[in-house]
Amino acid sequence: MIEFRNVNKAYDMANGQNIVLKNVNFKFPERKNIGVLGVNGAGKSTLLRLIAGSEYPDSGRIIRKGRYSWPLGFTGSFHPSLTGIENLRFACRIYNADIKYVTEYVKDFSEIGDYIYEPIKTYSSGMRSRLAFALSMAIDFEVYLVDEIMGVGDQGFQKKCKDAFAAKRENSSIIMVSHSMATIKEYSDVAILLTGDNLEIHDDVEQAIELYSAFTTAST
Amino acid sequence: MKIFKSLLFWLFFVTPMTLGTLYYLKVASPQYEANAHFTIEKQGQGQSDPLGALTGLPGSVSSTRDALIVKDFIESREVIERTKQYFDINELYAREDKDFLSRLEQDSSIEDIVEYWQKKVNVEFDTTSGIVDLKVTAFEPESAVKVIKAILTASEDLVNTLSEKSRQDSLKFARQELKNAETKLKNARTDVRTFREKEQALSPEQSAESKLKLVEELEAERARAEADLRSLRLEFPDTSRKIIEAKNKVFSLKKQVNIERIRSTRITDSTDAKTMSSIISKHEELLTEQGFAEKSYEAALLNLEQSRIDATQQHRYLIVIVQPKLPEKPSKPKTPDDYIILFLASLLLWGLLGLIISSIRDHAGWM
Amino acid sequence: MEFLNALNVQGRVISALTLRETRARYGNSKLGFFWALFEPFAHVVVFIGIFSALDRATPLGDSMGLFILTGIIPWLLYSNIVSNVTTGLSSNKALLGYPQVMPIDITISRVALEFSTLFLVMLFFLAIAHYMGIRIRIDSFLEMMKPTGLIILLGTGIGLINAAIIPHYPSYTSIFNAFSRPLYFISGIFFTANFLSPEVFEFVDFNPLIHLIEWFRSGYYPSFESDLYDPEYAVFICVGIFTLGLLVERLSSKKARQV
Repeated sequence: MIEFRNVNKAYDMANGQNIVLKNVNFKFPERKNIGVLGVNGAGKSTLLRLIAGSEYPDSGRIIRKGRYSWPLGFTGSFHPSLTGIENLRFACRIYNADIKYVTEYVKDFSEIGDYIYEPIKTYSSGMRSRLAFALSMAIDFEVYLVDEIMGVGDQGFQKKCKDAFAAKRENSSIIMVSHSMATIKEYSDVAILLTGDNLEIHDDVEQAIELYSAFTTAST
Repeated sequence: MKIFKSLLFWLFFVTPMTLGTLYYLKVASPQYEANAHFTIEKQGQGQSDPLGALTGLPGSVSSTRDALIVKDFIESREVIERTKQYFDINELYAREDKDFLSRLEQDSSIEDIVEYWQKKVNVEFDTTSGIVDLKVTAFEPESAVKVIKAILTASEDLVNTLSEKSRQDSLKFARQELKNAETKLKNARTDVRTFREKEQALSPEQSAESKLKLVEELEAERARAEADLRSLRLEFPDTSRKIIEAKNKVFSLKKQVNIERIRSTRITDSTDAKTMSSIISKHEELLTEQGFAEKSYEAALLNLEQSRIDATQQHRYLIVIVQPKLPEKPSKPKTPDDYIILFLASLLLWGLLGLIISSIRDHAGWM
Repeated sequence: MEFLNALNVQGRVISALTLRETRARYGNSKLGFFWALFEPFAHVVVFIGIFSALDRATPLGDSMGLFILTGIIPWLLYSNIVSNVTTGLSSNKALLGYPQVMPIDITISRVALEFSTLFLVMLFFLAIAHYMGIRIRIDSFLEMMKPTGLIILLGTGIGLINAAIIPHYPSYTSIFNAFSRPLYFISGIFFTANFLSPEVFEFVDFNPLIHLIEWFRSGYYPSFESDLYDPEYAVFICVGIFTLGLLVERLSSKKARQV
């Protein structure tokens, strides 16, 4: 369950303030896969981080209940001087997950091998993303927050991600931000349109995409 | 959330403020504070401390110490026991009709009473002036004055006892010294007397001298007799009676001189072989000892005199500068101050709890 | 219910952070714990040296070392907490990426680690002293823990205030250090306030640390009665500074999170 109450959010830019949300009261539909549509800079990632709780609204409250993932594709959560395994253990502890199971899963999934015993700062960005993705798959979340995840790694790994996601969809839902209309179409049950200062929900994803396309062409 | 926040506000800010206000307005029993200033003076201190007069620093370490001793005394259990004859602490403070926060609970243990006492009595010592400021709070103005007077009396007794004790202590040593010197002198004198009695002469030197004189006189007589004999020989023949007489006189004088010579080197005719000189040196030794004993006796006498002077200077006494007066206005509750403290404390309580609780609540929403 | 859940989450976060802090400090090299032991040891040795050179007896008890130890441990608790809390956020910023990790959790875990470390260090030195034949007699453990708690509040409060100021005024660090270094000499680490003349005491009286260290010592030494510490003043200052620190932290922590 996630609900916005009187939420205001803006961020400072070089040429003035960019308003993301203004007095938004919004209840996200439960147990549905949600695709977030919005023009570049409308604040899709900010919205995702607000949902995740890694960013706070300027005012208002966000009420959240359940196991929400950190925004996937966002790998800033790893402490660079700790090893992969230490970061993994830390995440398990705060999410109350079984360390042994998660370790096995991540080792198997991420394909980073013994690098898991090295500090994160020695990782390439690809390894980092793979570790983050594997970890989020290993810890069972109710809602996965996905920020352009599908571009991680090579073809093989992408396939693996898709399969993992497909398996997760049985018990978990997704809130996803993507530029790719195809991805949105593939994964979402409903679409949310970020209109510049408000959220609009559309049960029909196709219709939302059309509206969005009209919107983008109009604005450009 | 709104409800929660206001609940917090009502519970931890409004409630303590209200309770506190109620207490101050309705419950709190008025208390009166009497105060007195005193200082502990030391005789002759004025002249002996020009530095203190110049710099305004505390007169001397010991007078500061005395004041601190009295301060410690007033805050101790001792003072409660020593003032028992003047007032009953339970009667004055353990009273049902007074408010539950400021009264002494009935049948308190002595430790609790001391703790309570320390709250009611406030002693402050000002190092620059050397003045002790004593404050006592009680439920009636008269009681406050009564207690403070009792404390002053007990403190004065303490200072006097201390002063007397240190005086006795410093005199005790000087007196002991004098006594020792006296005994030594007496012994030395006895030694000289016994020696003289034993040697049967008032003074061995004198008897030796007189013996030598006798020898000299005899010698002179003998010389005279020999001269007489020589002049008689010119007039009379050797066999004349006069010459024989003169010869005999010379001979007996010679014999006498010899005897006296031997005698003069011996003190007596006794058979012990002590020579005159050894007796003299022994005698001199005894005399020197006696001299020393006399000198140290004189010194001890002087010392005792000095100690007496010092002791009077060490005499300390408590001077009450400001006598306790009857207070008219209760010192407690001190309304504006109390409210400020109450307000700050409630604010702190509410703020702290609110901050802690909301810090925890930040974690809500994740399983 | 929600509150209990939040408490549970916070508990998990703090324990995870504490484990992480412990590993970061003592896990990778043996030097960490060695330093924790060496620092108080060095202070004790230096002061024993100074005091014996001056031919001074210990102001309290019969062991100079124990006297210094009972002053240096509270001092280190204070100064280590201040520096750990001050830098806590900047060295753990990455972990704030996990949304349920709050800046205050980092502070709490660091304080917990510091307290446990010094607690063990104190026990270690008491054990050593015991083996050396020095009589250990603690008057009241509770009376030692009360000032300890207040020191923790004071150090945490000051650390939180520092952490909030430094991002805005980086030069504040050196100003703070310049003011806090002399505190070492007026906090009663190597003397007791009873030895101070009242004028000097009035001068150092504002410093809550001297009150707390005196309190700590009067908890340790059965014979020591320091009439110069004022528990009410110490409590008021420590709780006040801690509350102010929490307030400042709350006002600034939302900003600290923005990446």
